Amino acid sequence: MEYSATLVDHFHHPRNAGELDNPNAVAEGENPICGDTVRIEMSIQDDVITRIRWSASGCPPAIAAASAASVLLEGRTLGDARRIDRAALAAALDGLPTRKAHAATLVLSTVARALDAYESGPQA
Amino acid sequence: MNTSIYLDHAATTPLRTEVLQAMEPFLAENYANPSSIYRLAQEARAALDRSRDLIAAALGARSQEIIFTGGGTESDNAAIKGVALASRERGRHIVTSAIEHHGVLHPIEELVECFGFESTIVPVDQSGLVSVDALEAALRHDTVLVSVMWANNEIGTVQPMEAIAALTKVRDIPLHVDAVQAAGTLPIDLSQVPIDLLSISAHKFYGPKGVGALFVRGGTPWWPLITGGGQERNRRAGTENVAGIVGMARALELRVAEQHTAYEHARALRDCLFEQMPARIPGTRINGHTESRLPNNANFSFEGVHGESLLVALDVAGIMASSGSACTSGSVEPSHVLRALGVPNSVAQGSLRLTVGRDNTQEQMERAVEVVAGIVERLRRLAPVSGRA
Repeated sequence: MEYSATLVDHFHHPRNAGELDNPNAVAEGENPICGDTVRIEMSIQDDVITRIRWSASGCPPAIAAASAASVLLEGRTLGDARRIDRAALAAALDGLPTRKAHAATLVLSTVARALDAYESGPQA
Repeated sequence: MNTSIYLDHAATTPLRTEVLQAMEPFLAENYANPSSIYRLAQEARAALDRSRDLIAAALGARSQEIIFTGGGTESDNAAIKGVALASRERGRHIVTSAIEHHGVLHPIEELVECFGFESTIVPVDQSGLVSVDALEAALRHDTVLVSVMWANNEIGTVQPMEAIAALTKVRDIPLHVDAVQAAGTLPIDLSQVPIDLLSISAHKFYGPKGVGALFVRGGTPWWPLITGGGQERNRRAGTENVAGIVGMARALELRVAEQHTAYEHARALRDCLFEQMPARIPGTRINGHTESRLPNNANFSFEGVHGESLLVALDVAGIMASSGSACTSGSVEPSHVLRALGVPNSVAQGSLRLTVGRDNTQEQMERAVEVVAGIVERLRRLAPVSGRA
């Protein structure tokens, strides 16, 4: 199989999947060409992502990237969270095939939009 | 309980023990080149001749009409290019269907791009059937070849070959048929159906990989694809794959002998999938024709589920299957077959092909349905419910 054991493990045993009761940072993203969709929900307190949940639909890398990103993001300050890039997410998956890089891009851009929405909103 | 289940027989089939036994002498003690003159070589030559006779008999052909090749794709290429290049003075128009294997479509594209040919791709209906009327309308005075597959590899749709052959016969246009999926499974009698060229591949009927055959009816225009030796009566150069050919002949002989029972066995298992999958999983769609279809082929789409995710999860659960779409560089590319059927991309991306074989059991079908149902439920639970953002 072309995917790393770590990626398959995230796909098969996703971490932090689901919803939060009262998230204060939410965004949904879609790749209109391939149909992958992801929704990110976060609880942010004192500039720290205290909880994160996600839902995703698409190919295995899209689901695995959402799962691995949630592990990387939980407990981070917003500044640290924004510094997580595609390479860091691919590393957390023990590699992501180049042709599947769009899965990581979708997840990270959705996270960035959730953070943007939070920082521009009244709760920031 | 956790042993693996192989449901990808349209991709390839396991080598039968009897076939391996038939091949073994030509993999070991008899290594001779059948074109040589000593006794060992003549034994290899005799094995080739016997194999040719067996394959011809299984197809209702004459032995001299069988050319051994390196597989189904080579057979398709040799047929398309062989007839087209030999017929250039007569015309440069080729007719084919929208759901052919790439082994047919790509050489036709090559003839169009590099050799000044024109092609007409005849559409299919939503079940994958080629319209004989549309095919007839596509024929021109300069049409030199028609190529239509007997049965489709993805959706299993079986084409009305007799009607198509009657059409081309009347107009004296050579007809090539890719029978890679049909051979061994459906009865083929070339003494009765006026097909001019027919491709088969050994590994699709429990024979070895890397070997196939092409039937070329006597008198069909021919230009050899591979040159550099006089083998196969100057129609395909290269030292013959003796062990592979012996294995192919034995495999086809066995498959034809058990054709009726194998057909019923496959159909019963496939129908179990057709019955149970939609009952167990809401939002299940069956792709392809319900009647005019290979007995071992099931092709489903599950609303809201990505085919590749399904395959990876199935693999973890020990079930080997295939899908008709691939998500590459951010774009889902549904197979040209599902596209030709008019299946929407969102549905095509969730397609799953299950093709059963002689070793599969009813219990395996039931387990497969349960496993697929569990995976589809899990993937759907992970999906966002849109409109909440």
